Amino acid sequence: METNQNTKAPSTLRSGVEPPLLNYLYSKASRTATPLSGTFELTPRCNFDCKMCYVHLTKGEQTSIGRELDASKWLAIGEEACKNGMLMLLLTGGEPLLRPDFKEIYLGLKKMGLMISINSNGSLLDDDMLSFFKHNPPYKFNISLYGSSEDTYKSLCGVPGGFEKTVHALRTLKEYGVTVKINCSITNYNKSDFEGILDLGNDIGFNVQSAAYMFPAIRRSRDLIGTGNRLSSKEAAEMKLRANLIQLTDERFMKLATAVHEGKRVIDENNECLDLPTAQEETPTEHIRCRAGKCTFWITWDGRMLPCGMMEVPSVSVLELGFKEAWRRTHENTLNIYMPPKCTSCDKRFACDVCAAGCYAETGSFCGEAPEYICSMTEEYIRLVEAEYQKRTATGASAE
Amino acid sequence: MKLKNNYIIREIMGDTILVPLGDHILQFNGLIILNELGVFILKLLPDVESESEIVEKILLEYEVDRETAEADVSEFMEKLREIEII
Repeated sequence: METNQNTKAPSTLRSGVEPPLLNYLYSKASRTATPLSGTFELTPRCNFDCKMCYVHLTKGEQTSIGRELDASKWLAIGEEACKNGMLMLLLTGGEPLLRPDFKEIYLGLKKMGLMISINSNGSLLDDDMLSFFKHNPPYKFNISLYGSSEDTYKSLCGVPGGFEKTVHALRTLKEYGVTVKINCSITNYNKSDFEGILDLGNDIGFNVQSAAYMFPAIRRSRDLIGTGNRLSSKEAAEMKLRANLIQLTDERFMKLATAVHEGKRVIDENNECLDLPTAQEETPTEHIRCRAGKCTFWITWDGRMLPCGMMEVPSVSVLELGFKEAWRRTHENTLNIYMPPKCTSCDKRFACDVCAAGCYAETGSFCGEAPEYICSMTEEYIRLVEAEYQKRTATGASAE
Repeated sequence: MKLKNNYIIREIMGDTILVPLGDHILQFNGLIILNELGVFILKLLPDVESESEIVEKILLEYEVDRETAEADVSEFMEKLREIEII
C-alpha cells in the first residue's frame, strides 16, 4: 500500500509542496493522456477589482458575453470528468464564493470523490461559510493576501474592509485545521507590503507563495498582449530574489545560487507549473513542457475548455462536444503547440520560467518571437543571484 | 467490522485510490493507493469480525505464509485506524 499521508507534518510544510504520490499520478496521467486534474472557473465576477486581474468581468460585461453555467451543468461536467479520470479539481473565479449555489456545486463534486482545492480572496468567508468549511473542508484553500493593511487593499483591490475580513478568515481556518496556502501577487500597489504579508503568513502559520510575474490579461482583451498593470521586468526580478532571500534558509538559497552560477536548471518546488519529469529538450523548438493539456485542463465560466487558464486559445466548447471529446481535442491541440525556437536554444533557459501561456500572452503567438519581458526578467534575476553568490562566497573565503 | 462512511474508492488509470471525504480530511489530508491485497481486505471488512478472520481468508486466496499475512493485515489495519476508516 502506498500513501502520501501527511498527518504529522504541519500545514506550513505540506501546503506548498506536492506529495510524491501525486507526482507519480501526474506522470502516469501524462503518459496515458488522462485528464487527472482540472479547474472549474465558476465565474468571472468578483467582489474585488484588482488592477492586475487576468479574468475579472463586471456582471454587465459578463452577461453581454455569455451566461455562467448553472450548478447542474457543472455537476454533469464533473461526473463526465470523473469517468475520464479526474481526481484533483480546483474551483476558481473570479471569486467562486460569490455564487449563491457554491455549496451545492462544491458538495455535489466532493461526493464524486474529488480532491478539491478552492481559490478565493477570503473576504466572503464569514462565520457561516467558515463553519461550513470546518465540516466540509477542501483538500486545500488557496487564499490571496493582497497586502498587510486596509490602505493597500483599497488601492489594489478597490474595496475597503477586505483586509480585516481576509485575515479573520485565515486565522479561523487555521484554528479549524484547514490546509491553506496563501498566494501573494506582487504589484506596484503592494510591493512595499511584501515583508508584512510574509510576516502575517508566518504569524498565522500558513505558507506564502509569492509571484512577481503577472501574465498580461489577454483573456480580458487581446489589446493587452505584452502589457499589464505590473512591475517592470527588472523590479519583478528584484522581488523574486527578495522572496528567495526571505523565504529560503541560507543553505537552500546557496543551493539555488550555486545552480544559477553553474548554469544548472533551478527547480522551484513551490511552482505549480513544474515541468513533467518526462519532458525532453527538443530542437529547434519544443512542445509544452508542463502538465497543461497533457493531463490537466481548465473550463472557463462559459463552458470552454483550455489547456491552461492563462491561455485564450486553443479553446473548445465542452457544452457542444461533451467532456470526453473536448478533452481529446484539447490534448491533440496541445501537442501542436511549440515554444519559440529562441527559448529552446537560449543559454539562460536554466533559470527561466517561460511557458507557452507566457509566450502567447507576451507576444500574441506561441512559437514566434521570444517574450522580451520574461527574457529581461530572467537576465536580471541571474545577474542579481550571481552578485549575491559572489558576495557570499567571497565572504566565506575570507572568513576561512 | 464497521466501516465509517467517510471515504470513496476510485479506479483511475488502473490504480485503486482511496479518497477521504468530509471533515475527515482534516486528520488525513492526502490519498492512498491500494494494492491488490488492500482492495481485497477492504472488500472483506463489512463481513468479518476480527483480523484473524481476514488472515484466514487471505491464506485461502493467496500463496503466502501465515506470519507474512498476519504482519501485512496488522500493518494495513493500523493504517485504516490511523486515518479513521474503521
